[in-house]
Amino acid sequence: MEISPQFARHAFPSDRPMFYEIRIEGILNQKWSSWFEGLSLRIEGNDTLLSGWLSDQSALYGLLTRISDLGLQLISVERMPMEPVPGRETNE
Amino acid sequence: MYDIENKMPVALLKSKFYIPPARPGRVSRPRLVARLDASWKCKLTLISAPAGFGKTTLLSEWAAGCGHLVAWLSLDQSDNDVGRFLAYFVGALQQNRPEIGLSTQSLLSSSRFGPPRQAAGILLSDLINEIAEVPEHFALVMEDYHTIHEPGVHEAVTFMIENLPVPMHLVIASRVDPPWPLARLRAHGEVNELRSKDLRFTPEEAAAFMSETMQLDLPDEELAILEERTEGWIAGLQMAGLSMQGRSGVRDFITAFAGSHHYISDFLIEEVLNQQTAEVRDFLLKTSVLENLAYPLCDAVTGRKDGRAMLAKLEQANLFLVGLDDERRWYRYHHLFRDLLYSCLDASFPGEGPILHQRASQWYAASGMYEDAIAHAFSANDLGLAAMLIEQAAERLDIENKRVAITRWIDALPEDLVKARPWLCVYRAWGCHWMGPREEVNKWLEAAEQSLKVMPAQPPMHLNGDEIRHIQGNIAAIRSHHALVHEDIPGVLENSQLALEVLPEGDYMRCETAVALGGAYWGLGDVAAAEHAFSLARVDALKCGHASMVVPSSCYVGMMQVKQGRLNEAMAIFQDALRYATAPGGKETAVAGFANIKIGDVLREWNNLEAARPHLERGVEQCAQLGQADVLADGYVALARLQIAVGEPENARQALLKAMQVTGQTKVDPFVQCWLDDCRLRLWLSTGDLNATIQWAKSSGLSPDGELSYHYDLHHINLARVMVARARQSPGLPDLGEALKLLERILMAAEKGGWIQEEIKVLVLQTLAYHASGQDSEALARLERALTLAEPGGFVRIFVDEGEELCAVLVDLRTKLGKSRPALAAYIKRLLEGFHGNEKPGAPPLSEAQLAAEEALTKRELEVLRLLATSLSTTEMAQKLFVAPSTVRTHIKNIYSKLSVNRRMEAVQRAKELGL
Repeated sequence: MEISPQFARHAFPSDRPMFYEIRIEGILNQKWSSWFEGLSLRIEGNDTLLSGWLSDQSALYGLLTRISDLGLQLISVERMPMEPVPGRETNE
Repeated sequence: MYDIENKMPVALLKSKFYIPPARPGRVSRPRLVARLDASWKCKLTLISAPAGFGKTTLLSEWAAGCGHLVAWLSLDQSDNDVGRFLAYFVGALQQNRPEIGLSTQSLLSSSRFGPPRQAAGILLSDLINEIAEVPEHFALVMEDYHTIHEPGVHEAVTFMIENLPVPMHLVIASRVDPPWPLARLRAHGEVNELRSKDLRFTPEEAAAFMSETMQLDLPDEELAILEERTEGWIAGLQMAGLSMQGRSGVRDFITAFAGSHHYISDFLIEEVLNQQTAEVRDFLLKTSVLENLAYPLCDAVTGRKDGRAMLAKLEQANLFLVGLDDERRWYRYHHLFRDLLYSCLDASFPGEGPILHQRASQWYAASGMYEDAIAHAFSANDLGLAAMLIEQAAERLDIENKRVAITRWIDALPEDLVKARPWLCVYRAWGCHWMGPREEVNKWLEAAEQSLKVMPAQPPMHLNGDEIRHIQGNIAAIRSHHALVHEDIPGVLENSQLALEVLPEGDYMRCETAVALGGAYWGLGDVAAAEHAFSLARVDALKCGHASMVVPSSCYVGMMQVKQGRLNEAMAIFQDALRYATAPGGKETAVAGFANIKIGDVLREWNNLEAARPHLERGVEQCAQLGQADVLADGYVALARLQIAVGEPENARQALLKAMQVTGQTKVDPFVQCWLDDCRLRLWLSTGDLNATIQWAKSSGLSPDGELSYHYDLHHINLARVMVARARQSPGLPDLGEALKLLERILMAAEKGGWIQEEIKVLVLQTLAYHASGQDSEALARLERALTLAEPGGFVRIFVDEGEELCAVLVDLRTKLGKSRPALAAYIKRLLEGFHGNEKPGAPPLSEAQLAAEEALTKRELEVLRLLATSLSTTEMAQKLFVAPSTVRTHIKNIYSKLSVNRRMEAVQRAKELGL
């Protein structure tokens, strides 16, 4: 995964909020958005795409655990090189 | 006489040990049961598959029919605490064998500062040894292992797996692969695994499930579609079954199901809910906020009265309800089913979630189950409620648990909210003091005082006069402890006295405060006042009835008595403390460590060396288990002193190294450092290494004109010892005059404070100094004074440790005293015997009988004998041999008797002679 230059200066990238896109097999109902830390839910074909900002690695792993707990098939996790907009770093 | 409190850290929930019974109508899975039977051939069986694959059902089927004893432990989030996890681990084993693990339990419950800091290995070794003795093979099933993420718990389990005793088999069910060395275990064939591909229903099993369990008669073609769509996922098939029951046209359902790409559970839960009556649907959705269900709790949450009937109905109908006990008092939903229901709650009852959580919280609080009440308050996002409940819980929680649990809860609240509530500030301050960060203690205390100032006049936040005083007493108590840590003696005095005035009787903080006060008086040199303060602490501790407070406070009282030369009284109180820490069956709990060390040290002082050794060795082990740094270091030093006395300098060196490791890692009480240095010096001097002592003196930062310190136990005595030793080597040097000047200063300080033990030490050094410089009458006068002070307590080694020179002066003194002072003369006689008692007579020749006995050494004893020749301690030998230290001691006793020796060095010697 490429770390874009503006993040390279941070000593601990794992503590900064990052933008993730997580692909799951199956079509998920919108109601699950709040279950998944307020990430937005988008359907692509027969998959569901969860995307949004997560505060740190712990939040990411917590989310992955919830996906696993629901018996969902995880397809991929991608960190997107997005510029953080001040004040809009979380999904609240 | 005393009641030993073998209290568990938390009252153990029986439901966690409950083995779910096999349900009638369940599909039997003999092929998998056979796979599980392979568990009896290996250490570990791992069932790793996501939710809904029937792990629990399979395990309960297997447990019921396997013909061996099975213990069960259901894990959850709150087991992410090593102390709690181990308590439940032992508890599970005790369901079948109540006599197992008692010492481990007492260890866990007696640790004052949260879970023991020692590695899992030390805690578990006793337990492992006990289990090894169990006659029949048995299994321990641990369910929901995926809830564990705390590394300490993983460590403990990994240790268990790697050292698993033969009769025990672990069977672990988890949704994810646990972080154990599975690759290694697999390579050695030590793990039996079942994974999701094994657990899926085969088409035959799916068919049986639908017809027998779900009571549905489906044609093969439809079964095949279901099987394919769910891929044999059992929860999916069950939900599909529930969706089809009572439906007239299943074909439409199956077509829709097969064709849908929706998340299978989303689809199914909607269908399941649609098939229920409105009442059942209402019940299911509303109770989805609950982790565990009991009918009165359900009624409180739903606002209805049919909870009992509903639960029975749901269980009957296979609606994912799991019973947690035989009496059908508590249930829970299958985790996945509950999550699915909860996801549907908002759609049917928008915004009601928080209200439902509040109702649950209130019910739990009324039932005294604070942990759950607080959790629901947080889920309801009702922080005011959570804060109030935390306060109520804190009052009722056991001391040991207050710190960890409360700190966790308080940290979950916003700071502003906490700062407005004085009790929460006080608890948080205690938490900071015990577990860090220490710098924040004052912040919370000030917040507490501030909130008292702006106390509203009305309830519920208003506090009455008594409560305010109670809070102020706590604040003062925390301040006094904080001051002690920072060596601010006046601060300790002021705050302790205030706290003791104000804290009500029975508040265990009184004991803690009195101990701090005793420490302060010690630092001021007033040993009598210190003794008095420690006695107060002891009285309070006895009132509260906690061994973990009675033992230390008693030992501190005894230590003050030793300082005042009253060895007999001290021994009595140490013995008392030991009895208090011993369970009715005679088994000592780990808190006894402190007492054992003190008893051992007094015995050593009385030159009763063989009797001293077991107490010191046991005491050190027990302190190591509890992670009490101060006492452990003190114990190693006491042990080293013994080892020097019996002529084991290498062992003494090792023990001192261990003591230094401990003091290097943790800040210990100042007197420990003083005694440690004293012992190191004695060891160097006994091996003639004067240079080492001089180096030590240079780097110690002590100077002969320096200010003396009671707080550091008048440690200038150590400097004086070095100076006297130097002077004795070359009496012409000016060292001697300086040494005598320093000693005189210390003597005055000791006399002023009533520190008789230190007075004796100083007088002995003065005797040696005067003797070395030929001032015999001075020497005799000092020695006579020393003996006068020492005779009532019967001190021996304080003289004998000084060697031949002192012996010579004693002989002279006896001559000088003649018939006057007969008590002293008798005392001198005893001391002289002590000097000569260390020489052993020549070894007797080997008799026939002895030879025969030696040949009869068992293989195990030979192993131990070989280890005796190294510098390993009993504990280390035990670890090496994977047995309990008591076993090693038994071997050693047998070895000694077979070889007709009394001491380790003799045994090693004899072994060499015999070529073993």
